Amino acid sequence: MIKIIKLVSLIWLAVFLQSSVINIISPWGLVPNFMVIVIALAGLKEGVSSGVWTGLLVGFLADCYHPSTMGLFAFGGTVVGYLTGMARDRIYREQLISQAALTAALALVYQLFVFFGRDGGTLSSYPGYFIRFGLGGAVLTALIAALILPALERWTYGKR
Amino acid sequence: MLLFNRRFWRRHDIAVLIAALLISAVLAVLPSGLKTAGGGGVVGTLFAPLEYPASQVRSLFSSWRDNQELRLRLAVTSLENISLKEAARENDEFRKLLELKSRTRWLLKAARVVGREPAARAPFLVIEPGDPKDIRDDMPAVSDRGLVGKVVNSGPKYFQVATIFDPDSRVSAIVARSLVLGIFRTDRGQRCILDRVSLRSDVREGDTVLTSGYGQVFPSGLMLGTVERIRVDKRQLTMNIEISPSLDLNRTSQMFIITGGINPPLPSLAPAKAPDSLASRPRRRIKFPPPPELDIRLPQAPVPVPDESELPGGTGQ
Repeated sequence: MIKIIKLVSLIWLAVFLQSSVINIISPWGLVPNFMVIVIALAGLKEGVSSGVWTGLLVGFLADCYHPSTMGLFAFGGTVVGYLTGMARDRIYREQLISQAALTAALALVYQLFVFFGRDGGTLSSYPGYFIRFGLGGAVLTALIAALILPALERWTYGKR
Repeated sequence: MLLFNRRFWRRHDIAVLIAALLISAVLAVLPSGLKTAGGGGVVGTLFAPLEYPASQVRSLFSSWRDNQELRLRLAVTSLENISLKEAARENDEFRKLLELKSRTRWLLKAARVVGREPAARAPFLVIEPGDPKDIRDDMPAVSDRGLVGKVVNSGPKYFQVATIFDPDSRVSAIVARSLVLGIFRTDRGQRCILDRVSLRSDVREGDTVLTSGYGQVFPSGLMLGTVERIRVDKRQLTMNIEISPSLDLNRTSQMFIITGGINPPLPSLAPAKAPDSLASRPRRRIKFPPPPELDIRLPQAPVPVPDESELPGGTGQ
């Protein structure tokens, strides 16, 4: 139960940071995705089920900030959570570099929902967006994940 | 009961996925009013406690950004301000030049300064006339502040003007009040002086010095400057007159080249006073004492007169 409370607290904080704070301190327009980090944390530690529910909750809370596209981020979070759970058994999940690389890939997947769903981007403009913002944002997310994932994991789930 | 069985969900990943996707789909098809109200309610309830510190952080960063932007804007505005001031000054200069053009009967060609030494009294300027045709060497260059110099090196597009500050420049000048002639030149390119003015000439500080026109190069009546200081050295034959030039090259970006037209009449000159030299000083008259009066009297004693009687023996005729 404590784990769940801690995880929900993390979700709450991540969604809030992502929606309210992080956009104003984004370097060169690159935005790290804290929500994906939390989904990856849950999915890598507990598998598909936890990843999916965490993704759904994260996505729903993000949707509350954008009611006009309600359901979109819930859908995206669900997919990301499922992919995390699927990848859990296929990578060396204890390795920090694997976790960071997976987080970067998940961030890119989540960006697809943001770009095509919320921002209404077109397929032809995606390469430009990918090069200018997508790749940099994913790398930044991976770097931050590498820095904070072990600590978050220890705090949420106890010792490894 | 199956839905609340954790083991079921752990074993059936696909079922979990489908359930979550269904929830997402339900969220997506909710009425828009409900979406807005629900979303706003959740945000207002769950995230309100964090909103105040977040708004402070946002305010801090937005202030920082505003500060950066305002600094940039201030720099741009300062540059614009400088540019506008320069334009206003140029406009003023053009207006004065136009006034000069309308006042005179010269044929004038406008030119702008495109290069000069950074010195305030640069001996040479490079100018670019709008219409370089008919501009030749030795043509006078004038501005609203008076004489600038003369063209010394005419090219197809750019021309060189030797200013009145050129150490080799000599301008026949005249003091406007007393019509005393002199030569305007610079002392090794530094001080401007009015040379060859005799010691007893009527020149005072503040007098205006103009071109005289007698040098046959520059027309008469062009402003050169004002008398700033006069020093008299009795051992010399001429006055040492320092001139404050009216020409300010820092404020001269446009000028006219006089290519022809009618010059104003030459000024009449002041009667020349005798120079202060020994040769020309009036001679002193030497007063001689009156001549002594001579008392000439006839002698009182009888003067023996020769005997006019016949000599003895007569004549014998």
